[in-house]
Amino acid sequence: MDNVIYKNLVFAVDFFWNNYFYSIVFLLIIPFFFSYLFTSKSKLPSDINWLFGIIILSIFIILLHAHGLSKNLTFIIIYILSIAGFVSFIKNMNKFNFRMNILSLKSLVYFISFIFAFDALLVTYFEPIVAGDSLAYWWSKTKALYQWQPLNLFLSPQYPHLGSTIWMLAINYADGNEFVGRGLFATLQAIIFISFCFALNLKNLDLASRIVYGGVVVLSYIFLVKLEMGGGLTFTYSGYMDWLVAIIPCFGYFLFGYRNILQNKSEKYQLHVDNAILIVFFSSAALVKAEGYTDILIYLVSISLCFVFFTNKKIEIKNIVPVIISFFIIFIIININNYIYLINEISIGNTHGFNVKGILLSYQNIDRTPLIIEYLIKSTLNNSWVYITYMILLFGIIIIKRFDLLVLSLLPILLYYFFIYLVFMSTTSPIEWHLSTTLFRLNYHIIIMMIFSNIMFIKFLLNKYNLRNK
Amino acid sequence: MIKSIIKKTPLYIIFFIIILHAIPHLSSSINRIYDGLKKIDTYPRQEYKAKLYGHMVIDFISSVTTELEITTLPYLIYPTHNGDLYGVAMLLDGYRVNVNKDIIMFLDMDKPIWKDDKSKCQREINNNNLTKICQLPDNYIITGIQFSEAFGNSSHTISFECKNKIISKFIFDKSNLIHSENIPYDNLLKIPNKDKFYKTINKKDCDKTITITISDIKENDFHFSITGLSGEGGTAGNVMDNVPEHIIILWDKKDARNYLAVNKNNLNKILNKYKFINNSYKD
Repeated sequence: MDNVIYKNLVFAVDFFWNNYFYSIVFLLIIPFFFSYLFTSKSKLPSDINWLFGIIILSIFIILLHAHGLSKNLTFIIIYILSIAGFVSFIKNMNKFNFRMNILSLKSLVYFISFIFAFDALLVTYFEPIVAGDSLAYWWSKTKALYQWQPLNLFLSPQYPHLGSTIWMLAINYADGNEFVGRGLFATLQAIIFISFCFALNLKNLDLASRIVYGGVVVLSYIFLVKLEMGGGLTFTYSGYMDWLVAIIPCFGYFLFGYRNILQNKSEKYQLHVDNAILIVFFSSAALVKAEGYTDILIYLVSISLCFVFFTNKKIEIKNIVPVIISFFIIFIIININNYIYLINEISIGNTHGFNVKGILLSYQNIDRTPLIIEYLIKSTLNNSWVYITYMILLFGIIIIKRFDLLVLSLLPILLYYFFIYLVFMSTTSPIEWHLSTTLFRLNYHIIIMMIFSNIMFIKFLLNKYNLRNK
Repeated sequence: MIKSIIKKTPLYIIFFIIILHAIPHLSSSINRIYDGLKKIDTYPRQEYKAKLYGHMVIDFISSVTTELEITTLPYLIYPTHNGDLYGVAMLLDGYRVNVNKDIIMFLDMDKPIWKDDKSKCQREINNNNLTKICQLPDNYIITGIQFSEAFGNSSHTISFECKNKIISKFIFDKSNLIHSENIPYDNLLKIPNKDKFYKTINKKDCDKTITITISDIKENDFHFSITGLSGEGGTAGNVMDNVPEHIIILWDKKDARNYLAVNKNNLNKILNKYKFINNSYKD
């Protein structure tokens, strides 16, 4: 018996060493030092800087690939820049906070969440990719990038491919095994979500509140990683990119809103490194999937209105300059796809276009409304506890009079509902088919917004609770 | 102290609820990890993949694509679908996005044209010659015949006659039969072409009827069915219109319903380009 356990253990270690070791080492080290070239002055936690590294590294790869550089040369440039980042890191080492408290709540939450992420990793090994669209779109792009095929040979060159680039980075040192990257998506999701939760200021919470907060974070992550999109496929590791296109802008929006609206009402808006990083996060959704453009538009409208409603900034020319530069960064990033299509002479057709005529004439399909509502209710009931928790916490936020947080959370959700309504009012596809295949995936964006909102609500409610009990 | 505990009671209740929800998930995940790690060294991933993707006939396609350029995909034809079925190209080696319509793979297609041919065929035995005159569907491609069971050591002559013209006539014995691990599709006989490959018969050759005669039949219960692709019989579904005239090169040993063919009009071009096709055939 002992011998069997020992044999399994040896095999398991060997298996993970062969399949994951180099990928994990690459993914841990290179994005961090690559991003350090830009984030040396950032006050954001290291895990967020690392995430930023993953995103800009992927954008960098997409651009060099689009310009026809060879894979070897691209990776040589990446290594050189990462070494430069490392040198810069060594020079500034005295400024870096090395206090890595392994016994901190954040570490504990990471540890527990990684158990679920590891479970997902094993599931992907035992269950090869089956989702048709994932194979045809996202895995195909990953494979094309892994083999460094020219863009004109991509099965769907007119779609953005940030998620597939991240997938490629994970499998690049794992012999091209798709399950390695797909399995690591659960870990990436854990890092995005947990880094957000602990980027909120928890200093005012006592131990009991912190433990409750940590428990909520773990429970929310369990929900996220196990959430199914139908047909037995999970959002996170089935190979679809809906999870990434929903979570990235949500992360950027709420953290940006938290730091610039909820925390610093009276200070003037500054485009410092941290804000620039969050803006890049927020706008890179457009590079994951075409729906990302809608998310960006909705979050942009929401954040702009929140600035107007809840900050005390006087409209002066010197205040407007950082705003203009922020918009310019967003404009540049969301147009990276168009730039790639332009230099590679790829026709994007109507994939990214808004059906303006269809939207304007959508009032003619008003009779679809009951059916859309019916499907929305069905979709809501599937994850009713997210909605119930959200409503209860929203009520709590009204009681503690944090209307800024209320609007920050509610505005994108309402706008997204409006967007969903417009989509199905203007669709030219058979309405029942379109609703049954798409609505739950669109509704997933709202679920993500609600989960991020819930975390912020709980943080503020616990804060208030602690203050009252002092 | 007690006052502080009472004050924090709501937090303890919330934490208790969280634990209550999280523990079952945690224990099921830990159990699954434990089970997974236990079976990871014995888990037949390739076998499981073969089973999972079995309906796409990945193994047979792979055996051909490994001989082609890494971006070339044969023209795949399934009963209800032609082309890249659910991204099958992305499960193969290479990055197969350039479809070569001259190299055609028929998958799950080559079956008896009529499920029950008693009403469609007249059968008679004269002087030990078995003759079967069969009606044919509106759209079809005949690839050969299938015997209901293997026969003895004797050799026979078979002829395919259409429009009062012999299309093909050759001698065969049991060594010429094609066997398949998929038993319902065993004991097949293909029609030799003038080269070492196999011909197919289509609507232009035969129109509505075909007469097949087999000589030296000693048993009265000697039965065979015409095999091939047919829209009406259901073997080829809606894809018949896209099926080009072709020469059969080889078939899947696991399941003879699957075969590799080359466009009849470009046979020489393909043979010159892909040497494996010539080499794959054993005389």
